[in-house]
Amino acid sequence: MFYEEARELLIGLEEGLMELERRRGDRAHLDQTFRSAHSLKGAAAMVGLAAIAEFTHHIEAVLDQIRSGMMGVDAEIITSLLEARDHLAAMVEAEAAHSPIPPSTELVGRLAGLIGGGSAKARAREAIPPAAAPAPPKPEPKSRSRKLDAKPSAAAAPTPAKRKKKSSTSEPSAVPALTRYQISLRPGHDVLKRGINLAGIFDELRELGQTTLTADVDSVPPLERIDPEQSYLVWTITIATDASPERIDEVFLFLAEDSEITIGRIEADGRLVPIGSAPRVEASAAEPGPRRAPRPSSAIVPAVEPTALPPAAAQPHANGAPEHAPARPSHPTLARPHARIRVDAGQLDELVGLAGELVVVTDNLMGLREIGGMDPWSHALEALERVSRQIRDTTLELRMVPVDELFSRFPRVVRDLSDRSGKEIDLRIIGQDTRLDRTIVERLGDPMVHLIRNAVDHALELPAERLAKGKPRAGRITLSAGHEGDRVAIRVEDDGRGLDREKIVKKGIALGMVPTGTSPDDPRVVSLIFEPGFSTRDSVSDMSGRGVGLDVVRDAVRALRGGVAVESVPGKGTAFVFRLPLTLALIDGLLVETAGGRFVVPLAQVEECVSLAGVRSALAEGRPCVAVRGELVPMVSLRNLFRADGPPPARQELLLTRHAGQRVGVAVDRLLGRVQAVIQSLGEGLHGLGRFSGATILGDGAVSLILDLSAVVSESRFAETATRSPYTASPWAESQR
Amino acid sequence: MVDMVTDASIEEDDRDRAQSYVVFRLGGEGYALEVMRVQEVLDMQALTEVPGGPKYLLGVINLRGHVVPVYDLRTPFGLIKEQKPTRAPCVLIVESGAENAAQITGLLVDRVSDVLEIPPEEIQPSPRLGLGKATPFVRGLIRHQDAFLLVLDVDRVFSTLGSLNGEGV
Repeated sequence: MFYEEARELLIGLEEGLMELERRRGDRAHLDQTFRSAHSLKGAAAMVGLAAIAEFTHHIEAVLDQIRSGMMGVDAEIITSLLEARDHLAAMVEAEAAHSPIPPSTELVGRLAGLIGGGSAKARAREAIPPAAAPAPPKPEPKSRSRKLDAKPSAAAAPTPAKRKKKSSTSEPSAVPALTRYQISLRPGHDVLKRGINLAGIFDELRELGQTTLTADVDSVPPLERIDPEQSYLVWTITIATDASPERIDEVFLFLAEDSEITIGRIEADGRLVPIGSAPRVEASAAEPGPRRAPRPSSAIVPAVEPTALPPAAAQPHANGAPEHAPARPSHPTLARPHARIRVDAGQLDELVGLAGELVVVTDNLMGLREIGGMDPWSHALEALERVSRQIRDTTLELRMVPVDELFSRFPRVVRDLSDRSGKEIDLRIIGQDTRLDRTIVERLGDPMVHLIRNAVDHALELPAERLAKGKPRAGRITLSAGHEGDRVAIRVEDDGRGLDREKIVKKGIALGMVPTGTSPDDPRVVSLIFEPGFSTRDSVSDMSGRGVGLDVVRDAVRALRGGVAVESVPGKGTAFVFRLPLTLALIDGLLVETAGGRFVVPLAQVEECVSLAGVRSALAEGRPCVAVRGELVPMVSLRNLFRADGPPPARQELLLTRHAGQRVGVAVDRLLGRVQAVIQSLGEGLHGLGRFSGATILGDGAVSLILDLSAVVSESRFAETATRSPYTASPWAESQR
Repeated sequence: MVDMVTDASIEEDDRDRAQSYVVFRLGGEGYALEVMRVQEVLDMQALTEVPGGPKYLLGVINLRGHVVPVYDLRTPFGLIKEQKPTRAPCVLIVESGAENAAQITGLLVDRVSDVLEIPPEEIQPSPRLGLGKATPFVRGLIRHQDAFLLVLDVDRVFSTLGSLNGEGV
C-alpha cells in the first residue's frame, strides 16, 4: 500500500520539479509539488520508515523555502532536488526489497546548504521585481493555459491579504501576524485500525504554532460497549499560527478519508468564521452527495485528478503532471467527468478474455440460428450479439492508457542527457493523450529512451556547430503520437545531422553485409542500421549516424506487432516512426487453410494476396521464386514447412509480406476470409514454436493457431541469404509513407 | 464429463492421512494421480493439430474458451498405442506450473477407471529401474487389486517436457 502510494508521489514530485523552473511564479504548481513531498513524508512516517521520512523532510524544507519566497529557483537547485528525489526513490525501492539503504549524507548536506546559501541568493534577487527576474520565462510555444492561478476558490483562500504576503518576495522578513484557528476533529471510528497516529498529527500542528488541545468524551460509550480498537474522542484544537489555512488542512491529510474536520478562524471579536476547511470531499467532484459523506476506504481508490483547469484547457499539457498527482487536490474544483479507479491488471485481462468468449458463444448461437431457422430467436440473438460485442470493446478499451504515461518520463531523461552532453535541447511533446494498449506503453519505454539517447549523442550537433549551420542553437527533439488508420504512430524526431549514407554503406561493406562495389538502394541502407551487430563498439565514436543496438529497438517493436520506419534528410534530421496496433488483445486477421488446418494470419503482416495459378514460377539462385507483376519474389510454401502429405491444390494463394525490407511470398492453400480474433497465449509449453504467436477460438468453437509470417519466413532458412541478395528492386514501403 | 472436484474442506482434513487418487489406464499400464491436481475429465473432442510441434503434443483444444494443449504421454513413456481402442480416449485436465502461474494442460489417457483413497503408508517407493522410459516420472507404487499402480509425478513430467520442447520434432 505504502509503496504504491510512494511511487506515485515520487512521480508527482519529479514532474513537479521538472516544471518548477519553467513555471516560476505558478503558485498552485509549487504547492502541488510541495504537497507531493509532504504527503510522502507523512506516509513514510506513518508506516515507521523514519529514514525515508527524514530524508524527504530535507527536500520538503527546500521546497518550503521556495514556497515562502525565501529562495529563488535556478537550474542548480532543481538538479540537486532531482538528485535527492532519485535517491529517495532508490531508498523507497530498497525498502520495498527489504534491503534498506541509508540516506545520502552528501545530498542532505547539499540540501541544507541550499537553505542556508539559497536565502542569500534570493535576497540578491529580491532587489529585482519578479517581472525583470534574471531569466524571464521563455514565451510558451504551446497552449499552456495552466498559467491561471489554480487556486481560484475563495473558500480555500479566505485571507487573500495574508497569502499575498507569503508569496510576495518584497518583504519576506516581516513577521506576519498570528491568526487563531479553532479546529474540530472527529476522527473516523477506525482511524486506529488504519494505523494513524493522532499524537503525531497533534505534534505536527504544534510545529505550526501554539496549540491547545481539548478532548471531548461525550461520545465515548459505556465501558461494556467500548471497542478498544475504535476511536470515540472528539478533539477541539485552538492554534495560533502564521500558517495558511491550507497548511493546517494539510496536517489532516491522512485523516481526511472518514473524519469530520472543520476549521474556523477566530476573529478579533471572538466570532468563529468557518473556512471551507477541507475541500477534499467536494474535490471529488464526481461523487455528489452530502458534503461530509465518508469516503470509501476500500482498495479501490477514486483517484480524482486535481482539476485546476477548465475542462477545455485540460488536454495537451506538455508534462501531463496531473496524471499521477496524489488523489487529494486541495482546490475545490470544476467537475471532472470521469472518476478513475485502479484495477488489478490480471483481473482486467481475465475480463477481456471473458468478453471475447462471450462474443464467440454468441457467434455460435448465431450459427445455430442459421441452421435451425429459429425465427423467434433471431431478435434476442441479435441483441445478444450487439451487447456482447459492446462489452468486448469496452473491456478492451480498459486496457488502454494514454501514452502520456510513457512520455512524461522523457523530459527528465532529456534534461539529464542535456546536462551531460553539453547540448541544448528543446523537447516537444505532441499528442500525449493518444491511447494505447497498456502493455505497449509499458514496453516502449526502453526503445524510446534508446532512440532519444542516440539522437542526443549522435544526431544533434553542439550549439556552435548548429549556429554555424544556420540552425537554432538548441537542438530539437519532438516526440509525438497520433492515429494512422487503425494503427498508432509514435515518432521520435530530431533536427540534427541526418543519417550519413556514405558512412553506413562503408560500414556495411566492411562488415560484409553489402557486397563490395555495389551501391545499395536507400531502403537497404536504412535496413542496414537495424542489422544485429551493425554498429560495433569501436565505431560509436566516429559514427555520425546511429545504429547502436537498433536491432534491439526493432525487435522490441516487432514483439508488440509493430514496425519501425526511418525518415531521414541529410543535414535536416531523422525521424524514427513506430507503427503499432491499438491493442494487443485483438487482431484483424486473415483466415487461411493449408493442408486441412485453418490458421489466422495477422492482416498487418500481409501486404497483398495474389493467386498463385496466375503467376509464373521461376527458379532464382536455387530458391523457389515467383514473378509477381514482373518482380521476382522468393516464396515459402507453408505446406513444405508443415511437411504436409499429398499434392497441393491446383491453385494456391500467395500472401505477400515483407521481411528485412524485402518482399516475400508465403503460399497457402486457400483464403477463407477475414476474422477478428481475440488472441490467447499458447502457453509455456509451446514457447519454442516461434511460427505461432498465439491461438484464437473461431466462431464454430474450433481452435485456430495464429501464424507469425515473419517467423515463418526466417524459419524457412531463406531469410539469411535473402538479406544479402543484391536485388531489392522495390522501394521500402514503410519509409515511403 | 465427470466432475472430479471434491469438497475442499474435506480434503483439508484428510490431507495428512489419506489422499485421493484418480486411477487411469495408459498404454496397458495403470497410473494414479492426486485428485487435487485434476480439474476435470473430458471425453476426447475436436483437436487442432500444431504443425511442427513436439511429438508428444497432440494438439490444442477449446476448453470453454481457453486454448489448452493436450499431451500424449505414450511417446515420452515409450508405451505402445492401442491399435483398436475399445472406446474413445479421455483427457485429464491437469494443473501444472507454480501456484501463481498455474497453467492448464490436458493429458490423453485410455480411460479413467476409479478414484481411490490411499493412505501414504501404502505407497511404496518406486524402483530406480524397471519401468522403462517412464521411470523418472513415477513417484511411487500402489498395490491395488493384484497389480501395481504407478503414481505419476506430473510436475516432473511437465518440467521435462518443457525442457525438451525446444528440440521440436
